[in-house]
Amino acid sequence: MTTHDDDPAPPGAARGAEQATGGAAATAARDAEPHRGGAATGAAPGSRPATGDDSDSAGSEPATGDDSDAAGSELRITVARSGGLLGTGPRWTVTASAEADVDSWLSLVESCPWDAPEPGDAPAAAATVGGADRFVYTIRVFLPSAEERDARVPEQRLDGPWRDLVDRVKDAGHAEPHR
Amino acid sequence: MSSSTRPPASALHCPTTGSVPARPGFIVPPYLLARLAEADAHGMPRAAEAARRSLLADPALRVERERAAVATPAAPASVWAAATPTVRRTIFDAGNAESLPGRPVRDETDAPADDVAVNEAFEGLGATYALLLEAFGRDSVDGAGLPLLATVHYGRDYDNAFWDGERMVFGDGDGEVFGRFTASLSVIGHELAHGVTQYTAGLVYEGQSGALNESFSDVLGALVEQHQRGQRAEEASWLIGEGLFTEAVQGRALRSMSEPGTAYDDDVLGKDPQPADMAGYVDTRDDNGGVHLNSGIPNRAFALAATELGGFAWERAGRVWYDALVGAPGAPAPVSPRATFAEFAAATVTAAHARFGAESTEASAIDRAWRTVGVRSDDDPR
Repeated sequence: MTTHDDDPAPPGAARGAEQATGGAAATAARDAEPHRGGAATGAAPGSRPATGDDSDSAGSEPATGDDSDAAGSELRITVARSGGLLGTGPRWTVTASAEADVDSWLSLVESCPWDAPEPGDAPAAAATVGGADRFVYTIRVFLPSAEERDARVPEQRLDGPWRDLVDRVKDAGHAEPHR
Repeated sequence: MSSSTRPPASALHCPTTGSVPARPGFIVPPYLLARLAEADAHGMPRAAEAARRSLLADPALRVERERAAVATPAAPASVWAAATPTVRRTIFDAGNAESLPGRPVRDETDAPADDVAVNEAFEGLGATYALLLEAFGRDSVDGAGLPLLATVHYGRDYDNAFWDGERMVFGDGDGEVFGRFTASLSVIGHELAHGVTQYTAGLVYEGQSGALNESFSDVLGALVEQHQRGQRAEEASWLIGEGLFTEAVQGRALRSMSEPGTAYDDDVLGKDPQPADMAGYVDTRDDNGGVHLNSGIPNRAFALAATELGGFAWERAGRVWYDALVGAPGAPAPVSPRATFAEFAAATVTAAHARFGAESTEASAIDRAWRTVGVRSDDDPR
């Protein structure tokens, strides 16, 4: 199994739902599905692309209520650890479907710098980032809109919101064996 | 060409005087050997033993070897000009936090601490220093006496050990799958070897060059353990990280160099994913492009060559791997930072020719090992 239902929202994670939802839509632009771009034209930060609200929310404002309750508006986050001396690691998965849970996780997701270049994209960095045998975290978020975002964060850069997100998924999530 | 017509470079080969074998890479001036011969009073019995043996070797040959060493980037002039190569170790305690370096708890002159992780790290650094100096004439990780630093008790339940560019860092393990990471000498050697690679070939830590970086660390880790135990290749386990798992784990070690893919098969850890040859090469974005997975391929090549050659693995296969990594007479440049498996294999064959002769058993065993794991093929010159 890859999901774990009914995970409680992490304590203290609940921030303003309206901000969280809107932010989710805006930053989802980086990994935007081709079809989404039509209306959102480039999806500049602050724009309000639809997040699964094509059918039940006609307005351009982010939905802060009803649509996130809809069946299927499930948020799933996986954190997979690789690297380290062993090379493989466990994967943790958390799934949220209740509105408050989704919103609190989203606010955490939104606080992460998804748009920062991945160190792995700059090959020379691999030699100079320092060291060997460090862990690498692959973080994937499956948004209620069915959009997906991912990032690969080396342990050396796992701080601030990345660290919060990974720690909370580890604490609240279901762990699978090493892969 | 018979072995009697080896090229002059074979003068670098291990000379023997009577029944006393000298180590091929032990290139140290006589005054220094005399000092080293006293080193067992300072807790370095192996260094002392090796020095005594080298003092008995033919002085003329030693001069030859010294001359050759001057041309070797791995042995900078400072080694000769500076004072006696001496290991300088400091162990730090992170106190289960994740900030480095932590609090210094044992220095070179201190008595053993009341902490097994501190003492294991200290002894492991010493054993690695001894191998580098005795087998390869290398004074520490940088070849110039770099102080060796380690931090223990890093993080909470931290299931790893790593090299951060300046020091080795060890977690205590979670107690369920892993115990403390200082418990394995091969892992300590592995981490310090990342430092050697950093100061020499600088193999980029991703893809094939990253897997070579990993593999050289396993090679050196295995050699440190064998050297410390006085084990010959045919007696060695060829395991990396033996003793790190708790008893709950179905597994022997993190990796097997001689049989990649067989080190563990466990409910939590899964099955050892290492391939044993190129047919099993793993393409992945995880683990910096599978650096800890595909290292199984060059690892096995080393173990095959070393066991075929027999004897102390650091004297022949190990010497050749080291030459290829750092550059050596006859194979002057280290492998490139982006070296592929094929390029590194070619570098080891070149290094074997230079050190032992083109028709040597060393060169042919190493060439054959790379063919067995599918890295070299019939297209490559023998």
